[in-house]
Amino acid sequence: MAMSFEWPWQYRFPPFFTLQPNVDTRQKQLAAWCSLVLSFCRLHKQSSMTVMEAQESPLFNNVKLQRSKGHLFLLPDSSLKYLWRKAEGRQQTEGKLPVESIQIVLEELRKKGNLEWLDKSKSSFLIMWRRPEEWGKLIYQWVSRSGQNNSVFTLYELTNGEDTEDEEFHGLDEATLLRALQALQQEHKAEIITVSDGRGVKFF
Amino acid sequence: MDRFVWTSGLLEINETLVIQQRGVRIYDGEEKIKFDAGTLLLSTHRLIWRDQKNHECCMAILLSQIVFIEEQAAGIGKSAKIVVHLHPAPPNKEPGPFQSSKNSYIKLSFKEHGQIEFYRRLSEEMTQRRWENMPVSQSLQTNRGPQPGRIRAVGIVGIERKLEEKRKETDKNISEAFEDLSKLMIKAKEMVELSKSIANKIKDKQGDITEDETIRFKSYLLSMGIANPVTRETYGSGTQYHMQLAKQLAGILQVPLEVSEKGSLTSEEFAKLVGMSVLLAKERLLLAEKMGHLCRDDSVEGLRFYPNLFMTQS
Repeated sequence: MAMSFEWPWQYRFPPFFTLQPNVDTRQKQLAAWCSLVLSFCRLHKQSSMTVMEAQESPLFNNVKLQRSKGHLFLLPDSSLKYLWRKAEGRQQTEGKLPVESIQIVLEELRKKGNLEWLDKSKSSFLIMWRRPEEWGKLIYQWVSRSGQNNSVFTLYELTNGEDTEDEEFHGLDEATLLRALQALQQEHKAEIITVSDGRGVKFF
Repeated sequence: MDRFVWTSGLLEINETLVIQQRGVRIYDGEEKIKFDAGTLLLSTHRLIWRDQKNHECCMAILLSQIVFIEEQAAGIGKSAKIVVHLHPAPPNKEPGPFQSSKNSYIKLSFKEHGQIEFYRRLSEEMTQRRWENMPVSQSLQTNRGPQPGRIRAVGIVGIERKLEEKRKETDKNISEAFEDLSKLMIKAKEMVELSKSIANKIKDKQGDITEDETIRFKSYLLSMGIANPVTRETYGSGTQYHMQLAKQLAGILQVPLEVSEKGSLTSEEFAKLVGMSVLLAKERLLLAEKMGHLCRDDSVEGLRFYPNLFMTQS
């Protein structure tokens, strides 16, 4: 839909593209990266990606990064103060997060439950801006609200049926949906079954 | 070198030894003279030099004759030095090794090290001026140098102390106190004007800062307790000197000083800014990064340090 994505301030801050050695700083940096990846993928409705794609994506590449966008002042008390400034025809350079650092960001996302590797060689991954458990909860809430416990649905009906048009999980990709249902299955709130032309789910 | 007087080297009552150092050579201005190996002693009142080979050859200058001092770092094949700028010798000075000299400064070369500590102690004595409070025998009485029309390095501190003394007197003369106060204000105003003029010259990069302006400014800084004023000799002329001067001005005028248009610094740029070696500058930056004050940008353009906005921005 709307391709005008609002980049966060970090995206214009050159150090964002260097993995920070200071542990506390790195924590903040990685949190910002995770948040950026998820909101980017959400807007662009991207549920899976390869690492190659990620490397080339504007997500990890700010081709318009300007390294001369601020003023640095030395104050009388010998502290340094940084002031943003509107860039006027400044030299443009590239901000590129190296692939090793991209891997670290992806691993963070995996630990948080927002990412799943689709192959053993870790070349492609599933990206879920909402964790499967959270989707599961939303789906089950709708099922209960509409009094449809003990009903059976096809996967297609859940994500593309008329009845779910107003729901957040409408249009959800199958891979993520399956994982959401598996989470519910763990809680004994649902069971994935086989139906005539594919898979379905029964809710309890 | 004509300020030195012969002395026995014995300390007077009320005069205390502060520090001494072997292996010191004296230069008359830039010239090497025969006094090449001696022990340098610093007391509360004097700077004494005694020849290591011939102990009877011993001379001294009064600390009150010193206008200001500078450090000269060691170089390849060169020992570290202290440069001592002196007031002109008083007319009734006792005899010494030189009748006359064209130089108004001497250099002390520390061939067996010890320059750093000696400089520190000498700076301290210059700031504390203990000789003013501890009178010694007549022969050591200070004959404060400057003749009318010459540069006075009395400074704000001297005037303040005089004011304090005056207040302690039982028969206070209020008009006299006001006179001194107005002198103080005139001097302060003078110095602020001078600071501003120098600051403007740096900003507009116009005109040369004159030697006279520099000396006046330096003695002012010294009297304000800035022990190591920026000097042309230490930093050379050009942007680095101006940077350092501007930095000290920033402290006095209380204005922020723009140090980078890029919002970041490399080790080299930082070294130039604060006047230290690149190696030390890098260590400082890395320490600041460890403390979380800075973060890094490592790119094809090199390693740059930015203020750590990850921690300060929401």
